[in-house]
Amino acid sequence: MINNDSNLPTLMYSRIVGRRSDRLTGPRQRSWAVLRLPVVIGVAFFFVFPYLWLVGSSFRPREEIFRYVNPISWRTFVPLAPTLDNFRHLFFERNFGRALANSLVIALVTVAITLFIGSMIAFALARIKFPGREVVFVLILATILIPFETIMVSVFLTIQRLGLFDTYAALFLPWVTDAFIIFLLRQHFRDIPDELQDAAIVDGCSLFRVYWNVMLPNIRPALVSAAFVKFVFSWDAFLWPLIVTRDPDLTVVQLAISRLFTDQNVLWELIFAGAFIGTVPLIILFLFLQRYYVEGVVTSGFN
Amino acid sequence: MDVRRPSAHAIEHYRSALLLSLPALVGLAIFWYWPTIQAVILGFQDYNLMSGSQAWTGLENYRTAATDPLLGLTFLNTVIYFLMEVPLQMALALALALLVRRGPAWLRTVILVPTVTSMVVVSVIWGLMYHPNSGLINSLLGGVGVPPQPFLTSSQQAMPSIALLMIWKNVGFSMLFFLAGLVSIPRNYYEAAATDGANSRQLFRYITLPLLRGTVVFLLITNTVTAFKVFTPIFLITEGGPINATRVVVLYIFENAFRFNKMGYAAAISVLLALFLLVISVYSLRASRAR
Repeated sequence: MINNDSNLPTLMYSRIVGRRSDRLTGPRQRSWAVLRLPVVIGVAFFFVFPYLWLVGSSFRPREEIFRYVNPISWRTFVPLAPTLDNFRHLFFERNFGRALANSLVIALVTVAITLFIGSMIAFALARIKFPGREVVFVLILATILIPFETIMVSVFLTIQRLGLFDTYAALFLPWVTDAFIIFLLRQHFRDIPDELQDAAIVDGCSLFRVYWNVMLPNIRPALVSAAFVKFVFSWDAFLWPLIVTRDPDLTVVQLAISRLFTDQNVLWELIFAGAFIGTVPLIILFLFLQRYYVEGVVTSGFN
Repeated sequence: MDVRRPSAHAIEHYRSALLLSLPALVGLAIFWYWPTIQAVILGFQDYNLMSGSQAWTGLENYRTAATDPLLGLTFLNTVIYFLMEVPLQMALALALALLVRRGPAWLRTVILVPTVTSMVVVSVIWGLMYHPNSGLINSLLGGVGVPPQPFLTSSQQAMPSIALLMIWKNVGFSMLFFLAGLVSIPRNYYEAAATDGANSRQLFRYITLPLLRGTVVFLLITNTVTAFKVFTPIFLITEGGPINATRVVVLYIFENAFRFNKMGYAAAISVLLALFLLVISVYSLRASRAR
């Protein structure tokens, strides 16, 4: 969407991350050199302090939860008597395991189907010349212009008429066709040299074989990017599950966390522990897959 | 020259393309195109979910919308939120991109972590941080001598508080696009200008900013659309309050559809919102090309 330079996706990460500064000299630069460390630390603190509080507090016993917030000190972030009680409570009394399993299964199924049908149409759009190709592509991109929030009422009615209200299918079916993912994969299919496809066809491969055996293995990094971006998206789902499920057995993790917060009797330590469970695994995954995430976001314009 | 006979070959290609495209097109038809059409139709109807009764009412929903003071207020609140969030978020994103480009690599990772943290968790944790008595922010402010603030319990401070947490969450996205824009500026532009005696402020003003225009337009459009979709933090933390100060459009659509059982009216508001966003997007694109 944002860039027609076909080499960009693969180069993007190394270019964003690579290249240390070409440092200019001059009075402004020298004063900046002095200021830089405090600014970097300040910025880092702004983005990190909610996590420090969240992680520290999730291991705190109930009676310690408010004690060290004010005045602020290292004790605000470090539990003095760490305990796993909050997690135990969530798993044994609040059925958090079920919510986690639901979200995990839904996210994996969503990712698998999205990548499968998305890569098929992306391959057709990128590598097969057929009449109406531009029309199909524009039709797909047009869905980006319609935010889901503006059609959620009628998507809900559609799900209901299909008899899928309050089912697992309702939680992933509307999300498996994703214009951003199709766009991302199409960009990568376009980068593959023609000779590869021509050679396979001369060898007698059908287009399906070309797609499955030749093209897909060649865009593996893009598939990882798409999978991770979509996984995060699916894991974050809140508004849609809120609308389309009633059955407690279908509760997804974000709904479970939100209910701890909107309960009549708000228990802070449980909220922290729930937020911890819902967040930390994803952050760890992100630390490993960061380069794929950056590529996926920048190439697809996913927001 | 191409010596293939067009017929058999082309037909086989066409059939393959169709088969490969079909699953995605069916999915889009059921879950995007049809609901879009249905939303427009529903806007002209009175639809009761409980009884299943459905009646044509013509422009009734739109007439109601035109005179509904609460709807006007929700649009106004959403615009106010947009004005608080988007300009500041983009300016901060550009500043962070410039900082990260010259700073340590881990800093970019830290700024991106909120973008992979779920909206619910961010809302819930910031909701607790804003707590007037037991929240982290008032104790941080207390540490530098600022008296405790009411934040979400005050109708003046509620919306800025929501905007701040959304800036915290979203700024990493915009920063990534600015970083991508920055690396695509050829380095010899700077070198040439520097040999001509340009200082760093001039380099930024006359090279960096103009060449980031495409990125700015793209981010302005996507951030605007995202801003007008704001729902989760407000639904969870303020529920539109205090005294409607944070009642935004999507929350109002949600309430009409799923609390007041006015599906038709909710659809009419959705159509208005979609048209509004479409006009803004097209207008921004046009304006950026015209210059």
